[in-house]
Amino acid sequence: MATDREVLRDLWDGKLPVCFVLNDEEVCDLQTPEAFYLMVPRLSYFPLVWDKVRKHFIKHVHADHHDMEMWLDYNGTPLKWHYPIGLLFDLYAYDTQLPWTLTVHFEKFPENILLHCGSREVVESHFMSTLKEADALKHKGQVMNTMQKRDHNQLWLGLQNDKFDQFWSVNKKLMDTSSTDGEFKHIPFRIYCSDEGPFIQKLVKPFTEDSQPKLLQNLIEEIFPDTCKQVCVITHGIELSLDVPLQWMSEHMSYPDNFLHLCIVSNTS
Amino acid sequence: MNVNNDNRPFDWKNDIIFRVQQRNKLQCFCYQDLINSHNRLFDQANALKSENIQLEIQLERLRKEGPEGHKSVDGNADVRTATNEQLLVLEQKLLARQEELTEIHKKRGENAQMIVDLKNALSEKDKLITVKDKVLTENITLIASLKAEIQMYETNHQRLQDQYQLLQDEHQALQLTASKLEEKLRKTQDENMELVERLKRYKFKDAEKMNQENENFIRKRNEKMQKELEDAAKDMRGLSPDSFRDCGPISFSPNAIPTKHYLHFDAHDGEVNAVKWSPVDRLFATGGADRKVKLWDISKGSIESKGLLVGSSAGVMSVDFDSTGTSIVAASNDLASRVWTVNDQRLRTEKSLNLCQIFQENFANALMSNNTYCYGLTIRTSD
Amino acid sequence: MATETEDTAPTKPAENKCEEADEPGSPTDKEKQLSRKSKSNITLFFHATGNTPILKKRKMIVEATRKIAYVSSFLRRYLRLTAAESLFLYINQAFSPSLDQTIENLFECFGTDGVLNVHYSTSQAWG
Repeated sequence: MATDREVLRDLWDGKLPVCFVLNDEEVCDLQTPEAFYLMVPRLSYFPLVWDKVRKHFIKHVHADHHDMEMWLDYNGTPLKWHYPIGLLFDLYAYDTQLPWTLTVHFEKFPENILLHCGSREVVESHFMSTLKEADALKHKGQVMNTMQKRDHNQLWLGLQNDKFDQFWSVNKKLMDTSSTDGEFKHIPFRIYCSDEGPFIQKLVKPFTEDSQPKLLQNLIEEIFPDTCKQVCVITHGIELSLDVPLQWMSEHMSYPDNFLHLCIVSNTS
Repeated sequence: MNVNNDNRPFDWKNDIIFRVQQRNKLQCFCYQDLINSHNRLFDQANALKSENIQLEIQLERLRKEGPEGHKSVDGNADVRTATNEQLLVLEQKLLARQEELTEIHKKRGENAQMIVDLKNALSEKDKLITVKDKVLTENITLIASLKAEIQMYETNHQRLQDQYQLLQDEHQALQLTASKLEEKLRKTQDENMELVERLKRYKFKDAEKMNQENENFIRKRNEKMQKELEDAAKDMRGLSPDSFRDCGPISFSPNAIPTKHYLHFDAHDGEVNAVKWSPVDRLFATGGADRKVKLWDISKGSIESKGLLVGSSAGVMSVDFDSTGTSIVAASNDLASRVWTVNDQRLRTEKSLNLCQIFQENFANALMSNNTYCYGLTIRTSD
Repeated sequence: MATETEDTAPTKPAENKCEEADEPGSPTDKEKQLSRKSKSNITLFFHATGNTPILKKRKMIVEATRKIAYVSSFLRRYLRLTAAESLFLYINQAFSPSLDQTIENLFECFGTDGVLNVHYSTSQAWG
């Protein structure tokens, strides 16, 4: 089990070097402000890390836009703040050269694509909702309901302050399978296809009907019954071999919101 | 990041760990220090920039101050110093004046404040005075009304006193007349007493005369009878049996004098003062000193009490029936005679008489009654 | 990156919005038929929670590819809520879905008896 914990710890420690650049059109100074570099945790969300960025760039934009919401884009794609940072990177920038260069915007908020994020409370409520959804899939929401408000707070604070132990001391209850014969009811996962529409989410059990553990391969087959092409599954910045059991994956490779966020890249080779 | 297609069951875990660590090595550790140092440099640059700006501002300020300082240095210094000193003194004076002025202003402000306060106080007092005035006028009207009332009561009082005086005078006059009348009354009473006494006296004399006359009459009769008896005794020798026969009823036959009593009974507790036969029935009434009148019946050959008539408050001195035998009258020593009906034996009338009348009645009764039997009891007159 | 283009066009099929729902034929069949690309419709069933007014039309048929944001804005319009008022949607009476979650995913995971039950409230009800 030490190796399992190692996985958790290593995943938690995953960080990305990000280079924030202000959109050229919004610069109102004579000279473009310098780029802002930051190491951001893969498991976190942008609104939790971008305070400094905002503070740095706000000086250089027109005073009319000081109260505007900040948003980011990568190569012209607006980045959804409610996706974990690691997922966004895997989804859009898996192959790019690091550091990851993002453009900071204050104007022209893409209303149709991005959700508004007024404060950290919005992120928190989104995060907790997603946690509840995951728990509804795993335990029919029973674990989350029996938890106290304090535990919920601890989860959130652990994520917000990048405290591994604080987070996992509560999160292990959510990953607990002792009351359900070592398996979840369903695996909470979301599959993102870069060439398709929004993510896919379905009811998938961790074991087959004859109690054989389902592997990642089975999941892909279940989701894409008609495609026989080779796919490449990426999460946490690594390619996964298709023989990983789903139950183990869910327990150890989920994001803090308890979902497996899997990116599918068509493998033409 | 090479794809590793090992199918061995435990490889995937190691594979994942390996890949994650590889990832961290690639993505984190390479950039961590770099970015940290960059950030540090960035912060330093920022700090220096802000410092720079501050210095520039300072420099600017100094530059502005510079020319002034330069001016004062050159030129004729002594005159300047003298004028400067004067200026200094004047400035000081000015300062002092200004201070005075501010003080005066302050004082003025204070005074104005005081005036305002006093004005306020004054207006308040004024208000108070008006209020008091109002109260005063109210009180005055009250007093006037009260005085009028007092006046009214006084006149009332005067009138009542006059009336009282009048009534007292009247009362006195009436008392005087009353006392006069009382005196008159006493006099007439005395007179009355005297007259009554005289009347008594006359009556007494009358009674005595009557007694004397009675005695005289009896004595005369006795004398006459003695004479007749004597005559008869004289005539005894020549007396014919016819003449004897004529004289028979006149003489006292031994049978005519009751020697033996037919009945004997106790009628009263005390003396029996009066008896009277009923004119119709075999009834008779007795009156005794025990204040009672009793009715008796002897029709059956024995004595039988028929009734007890009460009501007299002193001894009964005389009784009598009326001619039909329905009523009975009794005279008593209580200065009253009473009438009862025989049948229901109830008191009908009561009449007070004076002593003389009773006496007369008794006396008359005693004289008039034909069937009176006296057994050791005599009818007596009393006063 | 193509995913986002799907989001930008919620006004496109505005003509065939919502109709009074007939009971969908057999939901299990439909469920099987549902592939990601199909434009099949999903029946939503609304439940008012708290003081929120009850809808006259409690059923609503929505295209599977629509997002919750669409339902939310529809309900806001229907309930005549101002921008200042908040509207909370709940699935399973437990969590509120992310606004860019598709109806299809939610129906797949939390639909019962061929309908997706959605609780709505103008005040926070669950978590």
